[in-house]
Amino acid sequence: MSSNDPFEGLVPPIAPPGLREDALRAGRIAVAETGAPSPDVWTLLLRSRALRAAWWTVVVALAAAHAFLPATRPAPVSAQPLPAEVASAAHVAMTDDRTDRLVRACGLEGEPL
Amino acid sequence: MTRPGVSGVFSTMIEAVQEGVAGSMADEKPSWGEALRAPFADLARGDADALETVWEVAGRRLYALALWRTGSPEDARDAVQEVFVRLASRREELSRVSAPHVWLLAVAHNAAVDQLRRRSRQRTEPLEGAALVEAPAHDPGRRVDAERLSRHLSRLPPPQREAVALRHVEGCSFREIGRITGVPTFTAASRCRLGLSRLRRLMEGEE
Repeated sequence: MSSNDPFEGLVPPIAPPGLREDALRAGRIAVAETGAPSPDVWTLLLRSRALRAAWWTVVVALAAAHAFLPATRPAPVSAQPLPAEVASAAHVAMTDDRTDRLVRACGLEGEPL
Repeated sequence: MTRPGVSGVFSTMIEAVQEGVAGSMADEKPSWGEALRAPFADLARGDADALETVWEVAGRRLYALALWRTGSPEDARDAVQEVFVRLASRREELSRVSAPHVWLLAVAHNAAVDQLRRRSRQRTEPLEGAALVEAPAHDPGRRVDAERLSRHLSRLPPPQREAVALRHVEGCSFREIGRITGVPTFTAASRCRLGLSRLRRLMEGEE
């Protein structure tokens, strides 16, 4: 600031009498009306007994399931042997198919075997 | 309104840039804003007694800013009460405020602007005679200077009056004035320059 500053040495105006009390009263009323500041989600979670109980129930259920449910799995279908009846039917079908192809290849179609 | 010349604009730009560079290089100076941190934290927790500390630290400054903006003691009074209402109702923000004095003065600026807007429907003539600056208690001989300066200040447009007073009475930087009044730093610097130059002309009796 320059030396010929017209504000040099002057101060802001003093607040009028009574303003302090009025302003504080207005502020206190606003504090009372707005109540406590609303907490964030995590604070709510920590404070709420119901939410904490639900949280622990889920944790205990998962732990129990991990401990007590059997870990064995059913064997894959392809590894199981076919029942004998199904296997014989499949064998007959395969034989018939081979015979037809052999007859066609030898030109014996329509001839008695 | 007088328009700034090219040299005026350039010098304002240079002044603003220089201040910006100096401000970014210099360490943060302790200010009265630091004294607001503790009551802000208390208020954020819901302690209404912290309002008294806020008043002790900033009450006079809030009233001064509202008066500079509105030009009317009555409006300034209403604006200051509104500041305390907003301070209490927005107290959840207080713990996250980085510069408490700038935040508080910005609230006062907005309250004063709102008050001015409401009153402008009822009254348009400028009020003169309000003490916008005062002589210090230890130097009553400057009372005449203070009255003369107040009279001329009241003739400035409110944005210029506010910027000049924030700069020369409160000692705010252009950046702080910009943040308080919601304008870019360059605009704040420009308002200061224009306001001060017009004030000097008024004091010299040129207008």
